[in-house]
Amino acid sequence: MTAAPSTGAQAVPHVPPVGPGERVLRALGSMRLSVWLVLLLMLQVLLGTFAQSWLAIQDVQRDFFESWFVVGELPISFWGKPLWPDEFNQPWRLRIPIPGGYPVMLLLAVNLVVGGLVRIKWSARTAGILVTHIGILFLLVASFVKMHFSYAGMLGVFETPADGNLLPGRVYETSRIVSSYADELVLLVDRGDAIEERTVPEQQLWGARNDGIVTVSAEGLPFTVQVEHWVDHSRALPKGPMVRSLLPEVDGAFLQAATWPPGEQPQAEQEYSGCYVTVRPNSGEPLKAILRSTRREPFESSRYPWTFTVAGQRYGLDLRRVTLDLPFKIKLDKFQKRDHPGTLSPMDFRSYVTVRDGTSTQEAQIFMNNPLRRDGYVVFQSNWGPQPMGGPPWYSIFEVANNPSDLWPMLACFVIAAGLLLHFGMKLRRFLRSSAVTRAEV
Amino acid sequence: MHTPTLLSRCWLLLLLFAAACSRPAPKYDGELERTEPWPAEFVTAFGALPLMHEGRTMPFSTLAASTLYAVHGRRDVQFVSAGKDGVQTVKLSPTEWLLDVWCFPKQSGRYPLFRIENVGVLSALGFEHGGQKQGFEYLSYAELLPVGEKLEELAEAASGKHQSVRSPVESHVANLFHQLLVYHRLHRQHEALQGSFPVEGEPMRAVVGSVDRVSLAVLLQKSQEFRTLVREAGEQFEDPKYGNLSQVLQFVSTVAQTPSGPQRVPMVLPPLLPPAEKDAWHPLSQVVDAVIRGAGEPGTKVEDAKLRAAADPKLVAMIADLQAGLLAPTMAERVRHLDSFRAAVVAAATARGELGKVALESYYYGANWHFHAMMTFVLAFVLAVGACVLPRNRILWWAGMVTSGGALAMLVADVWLRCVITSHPPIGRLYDTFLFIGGTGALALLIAEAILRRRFALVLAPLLGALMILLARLFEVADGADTMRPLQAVLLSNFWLAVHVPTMNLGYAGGVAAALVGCAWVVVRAARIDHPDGELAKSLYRVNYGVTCFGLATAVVGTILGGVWANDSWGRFWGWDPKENGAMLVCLSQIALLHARMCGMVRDAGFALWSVATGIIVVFSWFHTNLLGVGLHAYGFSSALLTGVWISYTFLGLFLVVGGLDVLLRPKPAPITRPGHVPALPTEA
Amino acid sequence: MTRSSAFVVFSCLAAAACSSDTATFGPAQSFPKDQRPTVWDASTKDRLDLATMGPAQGSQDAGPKAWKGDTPTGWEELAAEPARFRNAQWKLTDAPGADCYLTVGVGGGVAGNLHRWYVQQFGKPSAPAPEALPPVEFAGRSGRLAELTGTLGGKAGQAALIAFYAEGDSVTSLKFTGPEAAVAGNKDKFLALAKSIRSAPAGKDPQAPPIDRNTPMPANHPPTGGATNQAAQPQPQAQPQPAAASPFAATVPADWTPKAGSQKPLHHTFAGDGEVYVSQLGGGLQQTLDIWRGEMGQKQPLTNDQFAALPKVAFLGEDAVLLDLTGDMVGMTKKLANARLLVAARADAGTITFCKLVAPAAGGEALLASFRQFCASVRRTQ
Repeated sequence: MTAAPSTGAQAVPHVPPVGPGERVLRALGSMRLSVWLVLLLMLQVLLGTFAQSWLAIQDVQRDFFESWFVVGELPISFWGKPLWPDEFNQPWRLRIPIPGGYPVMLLLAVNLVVGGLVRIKWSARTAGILVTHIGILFLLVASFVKMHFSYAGMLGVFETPADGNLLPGRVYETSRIVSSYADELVLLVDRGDAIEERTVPEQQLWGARNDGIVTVSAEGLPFTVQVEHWVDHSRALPKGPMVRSLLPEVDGAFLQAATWPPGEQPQAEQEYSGCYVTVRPNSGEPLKAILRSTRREPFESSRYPWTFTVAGQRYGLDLRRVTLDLPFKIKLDKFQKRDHPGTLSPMDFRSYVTVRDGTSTQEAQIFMNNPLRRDGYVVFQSNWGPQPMGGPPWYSIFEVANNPSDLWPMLACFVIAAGLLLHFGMKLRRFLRSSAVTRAEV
Repeated sequence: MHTPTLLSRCWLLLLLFAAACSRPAPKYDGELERTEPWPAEFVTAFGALPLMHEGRTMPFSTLAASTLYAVHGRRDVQFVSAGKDGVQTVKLSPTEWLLDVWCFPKQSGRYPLFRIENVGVLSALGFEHGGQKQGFEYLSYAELLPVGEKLEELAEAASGKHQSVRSPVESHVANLFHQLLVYHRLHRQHEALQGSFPVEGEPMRAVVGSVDRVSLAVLLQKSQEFRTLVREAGEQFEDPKYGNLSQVLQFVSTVAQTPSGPQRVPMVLPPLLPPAEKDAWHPLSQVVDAVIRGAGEPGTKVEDAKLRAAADPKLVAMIADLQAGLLAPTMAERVRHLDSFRAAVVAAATARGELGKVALESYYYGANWHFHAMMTFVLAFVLAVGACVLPRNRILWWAGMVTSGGALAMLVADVWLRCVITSHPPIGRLYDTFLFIGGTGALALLIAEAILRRRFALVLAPLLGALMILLARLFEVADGADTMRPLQAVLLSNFWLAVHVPTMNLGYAGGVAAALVGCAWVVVRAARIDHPDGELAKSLYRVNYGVTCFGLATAVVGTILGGVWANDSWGRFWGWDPKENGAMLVCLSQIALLHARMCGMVRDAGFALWSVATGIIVVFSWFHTNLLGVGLHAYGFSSALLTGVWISYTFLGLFLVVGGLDVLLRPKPAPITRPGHVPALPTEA
Repeated sequence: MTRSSAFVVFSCLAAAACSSDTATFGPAQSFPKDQRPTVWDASTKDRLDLATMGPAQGSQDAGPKAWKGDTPTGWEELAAEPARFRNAQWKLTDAPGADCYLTVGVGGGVAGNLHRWYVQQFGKPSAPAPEALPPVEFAGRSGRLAELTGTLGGKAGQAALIAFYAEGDSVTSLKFTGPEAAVAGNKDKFLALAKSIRSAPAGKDPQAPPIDRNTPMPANHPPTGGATNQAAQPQPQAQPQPAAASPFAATVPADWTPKAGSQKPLHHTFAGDGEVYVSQLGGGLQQTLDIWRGEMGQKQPLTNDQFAALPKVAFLGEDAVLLDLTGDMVGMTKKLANARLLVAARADAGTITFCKLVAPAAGGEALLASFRQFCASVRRTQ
C-alpha cells in the first residue's frame, strides 16, 4: 500500500491553489478521514455490543446502527467486577455521544468512492486495492439495498395431522408472513366478502412515545385516529382494585412498560408494542381503546381487531406485526427432529413442506443451512415447537426473507478475497525480491 | 549483556512459581479397601471400553478424564494414606480413579476430591478450619454429602445473583455444588449393582435357588420364574407367605424406572440393534425394565422391537459380568469379569460400527501428541534463544527451525486425529481454536523467519505454539467438558465449518501473532536491545506489517464468509450479534491501522502499539463476547475464562503502557553500539 | 481539510430525523375474507390476550367458582382476591412474610410458568423440565412440585413450594412463599393443603369428589408383562385436564349402575363383569387403538388403511372411530376371558377422548346397541 493516493498531507506539491469544491472533494477522499471514520465505527460497534446487555437486540440495531445520532454507554468494570454499581449491581456507565450508523456508513461510502476509487492512482500496483475497494463498496451497496428494499417475516405452521383431523383456528397452511419485530397500525374496513386494509408503519407512530400524540387520518374517512402512549415493550394487564397503573384504564385494562432483569434479553412476551387509540368521528363521541401487537400464529390464525362502527360502517383497528402475503402457500407435511443419542440437544431438525401456488405444487425439505429458494423468497428453518420436549403436535417456524441483494455479499466476498490476494500477493512478491531479504542472505 | 540477567530472572520467577504450586498431597482418612494396584495392562485395556455419554460414544478413559477435570480440576488424584502398612503416597490416573468409583464406592467416596480454595466456603458449610487464608484444602464426597442440602441452598442463593456481582465465596459455592452434583450422579450410577438383597420366603427361594442373598443380575437371569411368581401373587404380593416379595418388587421397579428425557449418567450397555434402529445406548434401567416385563419372550405381546431387543439375554450376561466384576473379592477375579464385560461390549459396539472411532480416540488420548508438541516447542524455544545468544552459530538456527517444524508436525497430527474422530473440520469448539491458532500462528512466524532470518521470529514461533497449547491444556481442565462433544444443529455443516471458521481463526492467529511481534518490538526498544532504527527493530516492524496484512485478509474474508453462512442458515447476513461485532472490530482495527500507516498517521512505534491494541480486541472477540450478557450461566468455570481474559488484557495493556511511556519519554533513543550486536544471520556461503 | 470534514460530519448529524405528529393511512388494499381471518367484536380480554395473564376464560363461563382447601392448623384463610390472581389464599399465623395462594388457570404453559418462577422470580440460570420435578397430589390430580430457595424480590433466604398442574396452556398453581425456615417447617401442611384443594360451581356440593384421569399405579406395583407403548404414558405437558367437576354427562341405560368410588367420569358397571367409562389420554389415536388391540391379543398394529376403514359411531356430537373386538382381555389392571371390548374414541387438540366398554362377550348385538346409544348421549357439561 505504499502507492498512497495523492491525498491528505502528502498531496502532490506542484498543484496550483485549489478551489473550495476541490478542497471538499479532497477532504472527503482523505485517508485520515477513513481512519477516523473507521475508529468511530469501531466505537459504535463496541458500544452497540455492550448495549445488548440491557437492550433488546432490535432496539440496539435501531438506536445505534440505523440512526443518525446516539448516546452510547460504556459499562465500567475491571476484572469482571462492576465499578460503582447501581441498585441492580450493574456497573456505572459512561455516556458517550456519537454519530449513529447512517452518517458514518454514508461518509465511509463517500470516502471510499472519492478517495479509494476516484482519486487513487490507477496502476498495476493499485489494482488489488481497487478491486478490494470495489468489493467493499459492493458490500455496502448490498447492505443498503437490504436495508431499504428487503423484508422478512416469520411463518409458523402446525404439522398436518396424519388423520386429517385439523383443529379450527390453528394454522396448517398459510401464505402470510409477519415481521419479527416491526409493527404497523392497520385500519380494517369490513366490506362483507372482502376486507380492506390501510396501514401505517410504526415508525410514523413513534412520536406518540411518552406524552406525544400522533393523529392519523386519510382522505375520505369519516374520522381521525389519535395515537397516544406508545410503549415499545408493553404488557397489557386487567385493572383490578389492588393494581396501580401509570397509564389510563380503558375497558378494564391498561398498558404497562415491560421490564426484564439486567443482563438479559426480553422474553418473547415482552417484545410486543402497544398504544392507546382514540377514534374521533366527524360527528359524535370519541371512542377509546388499547391496542397491542400480540402475535398468535401458529396457534390461532385469526386477528382480533378492536371493532367500532362509524356512520353505519364497521371498522377495525389493529396493531400487528407487519403482515405480508407470499405468492405461495406453505403446508407442513411432517416435522422431524433427531437428537444426539440420549440427549435433548437436537442434531437435526427439518420440515417436509408442500409449497403451492395457483398453478404448481412443490415438495421440499427445509433444514438448517438448507433453505428453500423460490420466487425471489428464501424460506429458512428457524425454530420449532413445542419446546423443549417436542410434539406431537409439532409446529415449525420459518423465517421468510425477500432480499434483492441476497447473494451479493457472497459475490462481494469473492471480489474482496481476490483483491486482497492480488494486492498482498504482489506486495509479498516485491518484498521477497527486495533488498531486505537479499541483504540478509548475502 | 542483557540476556543472561533477564534469563536468570525468569528462572528465578519460575522457581518461585513452582514453589508456590507444590504442596503436600492431601490426606486420605481410613483404611484403603483396594490393597493392590490396578494392573497397568488392564487399566489401558479398560480405558478403551466404549460407552455412550452426552450424545456420543467415547472411551472410558475420556469419560474419566473429563469428569475428573470437572470435579477435581487436576489431571490426576493424589493423596497420602496412613494405613496399617505405613504411610504411602497414592497417585491415580483418571481411568484408575473411575475404576475405583465403580468398584470401590466406599474408598473412592473418601478421596480428597473437591478443592476448596476459600476458607469462607468451609465456614459457610460448617467445617472447622485453621483459619489461614492461603492455600487450599480438599474435601471428599463422604464429607460433603452430609452438608449437601446446605450446599444446595447456598448454591441456589448464589446462582440467583448475576455472575459479575457474586462474592468469591458465592462463586465458589455455586461451582462446588455443580461439581458435587456431577460426581454424585457418577458415584451412584451402579448403586443397584453394588450389592445384593436378602431372599425371604419359600416362593422367592424357589425362584432364585436356595440362597440367602441374591444380586440383581441373578434375578434378571431368573426373570421368567420371577414373573410367574408375581402373576401368581397378583394383588396379594404383600401377603407374608411371599416373604419379602413386595420389597424386591419395590427395589426392581425403582431400578427399572427409566427417566424420560436426557440421560445424565453414561450408558454402558450397547444395544444389539444397528444404530439406525436404536441410536442411544441402554441405561441399566431400560434393560431391567424390559427383562422384568419379559419383553424378550415369545409369549408376551411386545410390539416395540427396541424393547424386545433390550431384553436380550446377552445384555443380561453383560450385566452379570459387570456386577460380578464390581463385587469380586480379589483383583484377579475382578479383572477377569470386567475384561469379559469389556469384551462383550466391544463385540456389540463393533457390530454397531462404533468401535473404530472409540479405539482411535483411545489412541489419541494415549499418544497425547499436542503435549509432545508443546515440549518440543519448548526445546525449540531454548534452541532459538541459544541462536540469539550465539548469533554466528548456524547449526543452532537450523536446529531451532527443524525442532519447531517437528513440533508443528506433531500439532498438525493431533488436530488431524481430532478431525478424524469427530468427523468434522478442525474447529468446532472453543478448545479447538487454541490448537489451531497456536499452529497457524507459529507457522506464519516460521515462514517469516525462513524469509528474513533475523532469529526473533524463530524465538516467537515456538513461544506462541507452546503458549497456545499450554492455554488449551489449562482450558481443558478448567472447562471440565468433553472437548469432542457433539455440535449443535446449526454448526453441523462441514462445508461452512471448513470454510468460515478456519478462515476467521486465521485472522485471529494473525492478530495474535502481530500482537506478539508488537510486544517484542516494545521489549526491543524499551530494553535497548536494539535501536528503533536498527536492523532488528526494522525487521520486527516488517514482520509485524506482513502478519497484520495476512491477518486482515483472512479476518475480512472470514467475517464476510460468516455473514454469508448466517444468511444461509438464519436469513440475515448481519445481525449485530456480539460475536459478529467482535470479528468486525478486529477487521476494522486492522483496516484503520494499515490506512493510518499509509497516510503517515503512525510509523513503526505506532504500528507496534496499535497491533498490541488489536491483540486486546482479538481477545475480546475470541472470548469476551462469549461471556457478555445473555446466556451467561454461572455454573462451570466460565469465571476462570473471564479471569483468563482479564489476565490477557492486563498483560497486553502492560506492554501498551510500557511501550507508550518509552516512546513518549524517549522519543529519540541514542544509537546502540555493542560488540556483540550483530544485525543478521551469517550468510550461507 | 479537517474543517471541511468536520462540516460534513455536522451537517449529517443535523439532518437527524425529527418525528412529526401527523401520519396518513396508506392506500387501501382489499383481501378476500378467508385470507384475513378476523374475529370482529372481540372482547378487550380476547383482543389483548389477557387470558394469558388473567384468570382462565373457562372459570368465567361456568360462573364464579369457589375454591376450597382444608386450612392446616396454624394457618389462616384469607378472602380470595381473583383480581390479584389469588383464587384462594392463606397466611401463617406465626410466620410473618409467609403466604400461600392458589392461582387458577394462568396462561403461558408449564415451561413459561416454570421460567417465570425459576428464572424471573428466583433468578436461577434456567428452569428445569417439568418431568424432572417430583409428582405431587394437587387438587385431585397428579401435579408436579417445584421447590425453590434463594433470593426472591430482593430478599435472600426465601423459599417457595409450588404445586401445579396444567390444562393445555393454562397452569393452576398453589404457591407457598416465605422465609426458608417457615417454608421448610410447613412443607407437610402445604402438601396436605395442596391435596385437599377442590372446586365446585358456587352453590353446589363442595364435597364433589375430584377427578383424576391418570389413575396411577400403586407405588410398588410390579411392572406387568403386558404391552407398553410410550404413547400410552400420559405426558404431563400435553394433557389437557378437565375442570374439577365431572366434565361429561350422558343418558345411562337403566341396568347400569355407577361405580362407587371411581374417579373416572361416567364410570358404570353392569351385568357382573361389564364396565364402561369415559376418559381422556394424551398421544396419537392410532397408537392408542393399537394398545387396546394389544390388550385383546391383537399384536399387529393397524395399517393406515385398516385405521381409515374402522366403523364410526356418534360420540360427543361428532363421529368417533369404533373399535369392536372379542377375545381374552389382559389389561394393565383387568383380566377377562372371552371378553368384548368396545371403544369409541376421537382425537382433538392432541387429546384422545374415549368411551371404553369391557364386558363378557355373551352380550351380543344388544350390547353394541346400548353402547352406541350411550355414546351418542354423552355430552360435555361445560
